[in-house]
Formats: sequence, structure tokens, C-alpha cells
Amino acid sequence: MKQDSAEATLVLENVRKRREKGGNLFELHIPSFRIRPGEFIAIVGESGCGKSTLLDMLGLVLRPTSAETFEYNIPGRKRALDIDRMSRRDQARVRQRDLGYVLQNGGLLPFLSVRDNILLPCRINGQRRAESHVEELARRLKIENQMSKKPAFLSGGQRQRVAIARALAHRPPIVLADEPTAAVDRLTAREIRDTFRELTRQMGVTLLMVTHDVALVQDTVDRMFVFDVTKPAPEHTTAICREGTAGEVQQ
Amino acid sequence: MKNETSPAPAATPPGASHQPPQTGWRKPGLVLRLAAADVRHEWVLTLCLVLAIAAVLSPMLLLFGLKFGTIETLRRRLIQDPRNREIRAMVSTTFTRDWFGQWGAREDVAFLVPLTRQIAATVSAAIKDSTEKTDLDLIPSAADDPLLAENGCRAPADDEAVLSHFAAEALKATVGDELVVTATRIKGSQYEKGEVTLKIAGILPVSAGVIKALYVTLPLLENVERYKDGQSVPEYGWKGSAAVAYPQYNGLIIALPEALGKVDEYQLCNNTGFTKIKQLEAAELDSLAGITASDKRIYYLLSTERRPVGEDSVVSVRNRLRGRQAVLLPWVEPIAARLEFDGGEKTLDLQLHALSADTPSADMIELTPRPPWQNQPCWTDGSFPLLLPEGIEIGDPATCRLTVTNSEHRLEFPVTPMETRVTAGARAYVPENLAGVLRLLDSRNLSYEPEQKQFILSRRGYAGFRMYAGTIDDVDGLRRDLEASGLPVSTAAEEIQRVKEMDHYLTLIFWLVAAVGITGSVASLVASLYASVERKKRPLSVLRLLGLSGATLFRFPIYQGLMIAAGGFLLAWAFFHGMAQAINSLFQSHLRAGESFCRLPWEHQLLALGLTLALAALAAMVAVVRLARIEPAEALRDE
Repeated sequence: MKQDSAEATLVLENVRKRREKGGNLFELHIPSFRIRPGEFIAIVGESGCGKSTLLDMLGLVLRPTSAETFEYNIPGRKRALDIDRMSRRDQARVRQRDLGYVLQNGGLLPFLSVRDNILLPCRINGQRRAESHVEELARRLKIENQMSKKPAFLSGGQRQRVAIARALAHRPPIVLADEPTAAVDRLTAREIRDTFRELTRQMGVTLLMVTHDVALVQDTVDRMFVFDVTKPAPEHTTAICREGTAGEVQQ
Repeated sequence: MKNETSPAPAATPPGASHQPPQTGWRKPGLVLRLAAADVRHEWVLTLCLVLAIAAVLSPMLLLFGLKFGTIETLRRRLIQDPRNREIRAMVSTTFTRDWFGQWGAREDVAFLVPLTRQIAATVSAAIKDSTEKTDLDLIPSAADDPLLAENGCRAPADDEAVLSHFAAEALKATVGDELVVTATRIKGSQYEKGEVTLKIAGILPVSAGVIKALYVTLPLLENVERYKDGQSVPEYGWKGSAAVAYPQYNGLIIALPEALGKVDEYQLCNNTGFTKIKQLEAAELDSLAGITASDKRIYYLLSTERRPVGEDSVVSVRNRLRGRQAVLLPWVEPIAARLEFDGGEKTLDLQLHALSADTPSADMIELTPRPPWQNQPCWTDGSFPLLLPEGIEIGDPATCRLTVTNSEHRLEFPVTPMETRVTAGARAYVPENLAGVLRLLDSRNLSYEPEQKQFILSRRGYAGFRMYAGTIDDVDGLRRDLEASGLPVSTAAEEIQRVKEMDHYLTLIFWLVAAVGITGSVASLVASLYASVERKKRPLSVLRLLGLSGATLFRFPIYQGLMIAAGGFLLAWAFFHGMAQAINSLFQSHLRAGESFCRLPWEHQLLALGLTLALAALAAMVAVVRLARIEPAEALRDE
């Protein structure tokens, strides 16, 4: 286990999350979830299966109800970071330095220009001289001409590209993406997927992407996690997350 | 199992990370810039919030400004208005100099000046070379007269006058004009007129009083009274009789060849003005009167219990001792005087003693020093002889002047030092009747009249007074004390009480209105800012996801609240100042210099700003604390 931990960037063992909402009980169980550095992982499932819940827990904005192991093993850090031992401050620090996010609709701040949005994580981290890296990212993502605009003036695809640039700007080891291509057409989605994949590979970034679109990611991803959803009672849903294949999901 | 070997990450020092240590100082600036960018971006909403806050703040500022301005104006007028501080006597009686000295010295009395009889204080006046004559009341004034000072006029000098508003109107007078004041009197069946020209030093506003009055110095008023009483006023060239001063003695030393019987002693104290008789040893004369005399005589001292006696008492004693070879030496207590000589360059303090003017009688009892003056009364020729001790070198006897002062008055006149000197220490001698006149200074004020070379009696007392209390709060205490001393007075006490009560109720009503207003303002402020924070859920969640946490994140809405509140305050403040100016200029005619109807002092404006900002921060904090309880994940998936 210890050796495994050393290899894996993210280690989750027997993580459970229970949520009750409006009398409905939802239980998510993750028996084992290990991600190695540089992997491209897709977390696939229908809506309500718990994939966003998993992503939020990974993003440290949602606490698991119980966890045997929930560790971040960031390359370059001396020790593994255990979620149970992390103060809110530590969590914020991990979010700030080690994680990048691409949200469903970009999650861009409407009051900042594209450039300021992308530079924001660098500024929060106190990184200076990040401009050239950011310009390069923008060029690669074909948004170099949109840098001075406010997000409201961008198309959906452009917005997602900006979100990707922002997620990568401060060079985090892990990027979490939540349905980054849900709101764009298929062609654009493929383009975004490819650029994203290429950038993360070049930067050695571990990418975890939540999506319902198996077809989009099945040929690109290294591995895939799927959910087994059962309903033992009308008001009770349980989901178990496990590694799976595209075929299973499409069934 | 988990964490078997990994030490607690919480114990990890921040420096152990692979990235450079956090430059935390950047964050406040960053959050501030983010908050400002958002406020700018959503400028329409910001403007709405700013307007909403300005809308509730400006009436509040205006309300407070009006309250502060009007009440302050009222209160200042009340406290400063000399008319409310004035205390008037309800009865006509004589007020002595002592009375003025005693009451004028009180700390709660700001100003006290005597009044002459009303009938003597009416004059007619006209601007020089004008035919418009008006009857005016002469009212005495002096330095620090509140009625003049509070109304922007300085006290008049002896040749000046300050006019009341209506007096100036009737005379068509302006400041700087020359005013001819005419006092009239009836002598026999004829009218007589005395004129004096005064310069107008100031004109009072109508608020200082509606009477037609001329404020002048007390000496001028007294001169007019003297003239009206038939006396002369040589300063103005007004003719008439003179009230010549008379000598007054503390006692009478009698030298007799033989002792008096009991009956004789009794007779000398009966109806002569003297009340006590005491036999003196010849040796006692020196310490008592500064003289020595033959010890072959029997000496008596006639004296009084209280007030000194006049010449008539001496005459009646002389009559009773007729044929007994009595020598009478009127006695006064030594008088402190100062001699100025050699053109005022040198001064000398002297103790003046009375020395008999009757040289033959003096020789009879071998009086030492021997009186060097012969004729009696020796000073009617205008030369006042002075017998000085030895050793004083007088360069020019013509420039010697003697000064004698009592508690309030100073009498100065020329003296002629005798060529003879006496061996008498610091003692100096003047003829007994001159000493007696100087002793009169104890009870009466005298002035030396150089034209007639006479001492003129000043007035004895006054018919009334002008009194002003220090503040309106002193008025009632003064009234009680004056009435306790047996003098009924009228004050503006009722007016003061009424305005105080009105102020109290006005203040109460104001605070009721203000309480409602403030509650509304606070509610509106809190609601506006709370709503604006609520709208920031999503950007706040994004920022949280990007690694801003806790206090750092809290600052975002607080900064915004502060910015919006500051903007609202600025707008309200500008509105308030515009309105205040408009109100003040609208009511300008009712205001005096330095007064305003609508006004907020700087410290109150700052307080209002501080309160607004504090409330804004508080409202934002309440909102953001509530927001922090929402799981950020939920906010992220709202769309």
C-alpha cells in the first residue's frame, strides 16, 4: 500500500459520501481510486451517478463522509497530504497550488478580462513573470486574440479554452475538468479535447475529466472510471465507482 | 492502513513545499482589485446600490444638518443674546458706588454700568449740518458691553457714540458721522442749551433693541445729568453752578489751658456731630497727627463713631468753647499720596497730615511744625501749598503734582512745595482744609477743575444700572441673590425657560423622527448590500476553488460593501452640501454672520461616514458568513 501510494498522485480507498436531499438518500462508494502522475482519466456516467460529487471531493470543496485513505501525493512534496489531517487552510493551499479547474461553463469571472482570468491563479500564487507562459497557452488554445475581452463576449468554445488556459496557467500537477465540452458542438469538443490532452501531456499534468460523453473520450483516455448505480428503495440510490471500459457505459 | 508512516501534513512547514513561499501580502491588494473590477463591471447594479444608499442617507444628513443648524442657531442666539442676559431693577432707588463695586465683582456678572436718572438722560440730537432732530435716550456703555460687543460694535470712547438702529434711522446717520447732542434745561423761565459733538462709532442692528438710543460713556452721561441739574460742565463749555468739594475731618484736637468738666465734655459731644471725647497726653499728638505742642495745655480728641464730620461741626465746637482760649486743630487720618515732580520724572510717596492754617493760634500752643501758610483758606488762590520733609530736592516747583486715590477714583492736582522744610521723617503737611477735602475722597469722588482751581464733587450714587449675567444659566441665580438683597428685578427668565423647554421637545421630536429614519436607513443599507453579496455567490465560489479562503475571501464582499457605501455616502454628502447651501442662502436674511440653518460640523460628517462604512462592512459580513455555510460545490453547480 505504501509503495502504491508513492507511485500514485491520488489515492482513495473506501471513500464514502452520503447525501440526503429532500428525503432522498444518495450514497457514493469508491472502493479504490488510484491515479498515477500524467494520466488522463475520464470519470464517466449519467447525471446523478455521483461523478460530480467525486470531482468535488477531489477538488477539496466537498468532504467525504468517511475515507480509509484520501491522499494527495504531489510530486516534489516531501509527504503525502491526507485529507483528514488537512486544515481548511491547507486545503485552500492545495486548491491554490496543486489543482487546476475547468468548470462546466468555464467558471470564468465575468468582471475580469480573459487575460486577467487566466493570470488570476498565478497572481493568487504570487507567481510573477507568468505572462509569457500564459501567452503561449493562449496561442496554443487559439484565444490569443481574445485576451482583452470580457468572458461575456466569447463563444462557448472560446470560454472553455480560456477555462483550460486558466486551469493550466499556474502549472498545477493535477487538473480537474467538469464536463468541459458539454456546451459546445462536437467538432469544437474534439478540438478542445485534443488541445487539452496535448497540453497536459506536454506539461506532465494529471487530468481527470468528468463527462457523460463516452464517445468523445474513449479513444483518448488512459483509463476510465464508471459507476454502478442501484436503487435498493425508491428514495435510496447507491453508486459504486470502479474502473471500467467504454463498452460497459454504452450498454 | 492509511497514514501509517506519513507524519501529519498539518505539521508541514509552509517552506517545505516545492513552490516558493506564499507572498501573502499580495492578497489584500489582489482581493481589493478583484472587488473593484467587479464593482466596475457591474456598474449599473453598483449605481443602483449607490443611489439606494444615497437616497436613504441624504435625507438623514439633511435632517441632522437642519437639527444641528437651527437648534444651534437658536441656542447660540439665546445664550449670546444680551437681552436674555439682562437684569433690570424693578424699583427706582439709589445705588451706591459700593453696590456697584460689590456686584460688579461677581463672577456671574459679565457687565455692570450705572444708570443716571431717566429724565436726565434724554437729549435731542442731529447730524452736524442737518436739521433732522430726534429725541434720544442716553444709555451708558463701557468696554465689554455685551449688547454692543455681541452686535458687532465696539464700546464708544468719551467723544463717541453708538446709535441704536432706530436712532440711526431717524437721524439718517451713518458710521463716522458727527452727531451734535443737545441737552436742555430750564433756568427760571428760560430754556438753556448745552451742545456737545460726538462721532458715531457704530450703529447697532435692530435685534439689539427697538428703542431710539444713544450709547455713550458714563462720564458723558453724568455730565449731561450735571448740566440738567443746573451745574456747569467746563469740559464742554457748559455754564452753571459748581458743586464744590468741602473738607471733612475724622476728628478735632482741642488744646485748652485747663481741663474740661464732665458737663463741658458732654456738651461737646451733644449735637455737634462728634460722639466721643478723650483726653490726650501731649506726647500722643505726634503719633496721632504728626505734630508736637506745648505740654502746658490740656488736649482732647473729639471723634465720631462712623462718618467724618464737616466744617460745621468744627464751628459748633468753636462756639461752645468761646472764651476759653481754646485752639482747635481739625484732625484727619494720614492720607497716602504720591508726589510727582520735575516734570513727572520723579515720584515720592508721602503720608499727608493736616496742619493748622491758623498761625497765631498755632504759635499760642507752640505747634511744631509751624504752619508756613498765613491766609485762610489758603488755597483759594489756586496754589495748594505742601510742606515737605527735609532732604527732597525739587528742581522746578511749578510742575509738582499730587495724586490721591481711593478704591475707584484718582484725583490729581498741582501743588506748590513750600521753601521751608520740616524735620519730620516721611511726613508732609498740607493745610487742614485741603487735608479735609482729600479725606472726602473716602466717601465721594472728586475732580479737580483747573479753570476754577477748585475741587468739584462728583455724583454720589446712581438711579439704576445695566447688568448682564455671564450666561443665561447665571440669570436665575443672580435674580435670586438680587431679590434676596431686597431689590426686585426683572429678567428674561421666563423666556429662557420657555425656549429651553421648546428646545427639549424639539430635540425629543427630532430624535423620534431620526430613530425611524435611521432604522429605515440601516435596513435599506443592510438589505442592499446583503442582496449584492448574495448575487456574488458564484464568483465567490470560483475564487474559493482557485484557492482563496477564509478571511481573504471574506474581504471581497466587504470591500465591495465599503466601496458602494462610500459611493452612496459621497453622493448623499454632495446632495446634502448642495441643499444646505440652498437652504442657507434661502434664509440668509434671517441669519447673522457665522450662523446657518443647515449645517453639520466636520466631526459629525466623519462620524456619519464612519457609521455608514461600519454598517456596510457589518452587513456584508453577515451576508458572507451565511454564504460561507453553503457548500461551494452547490454554488458551482447552480447553473
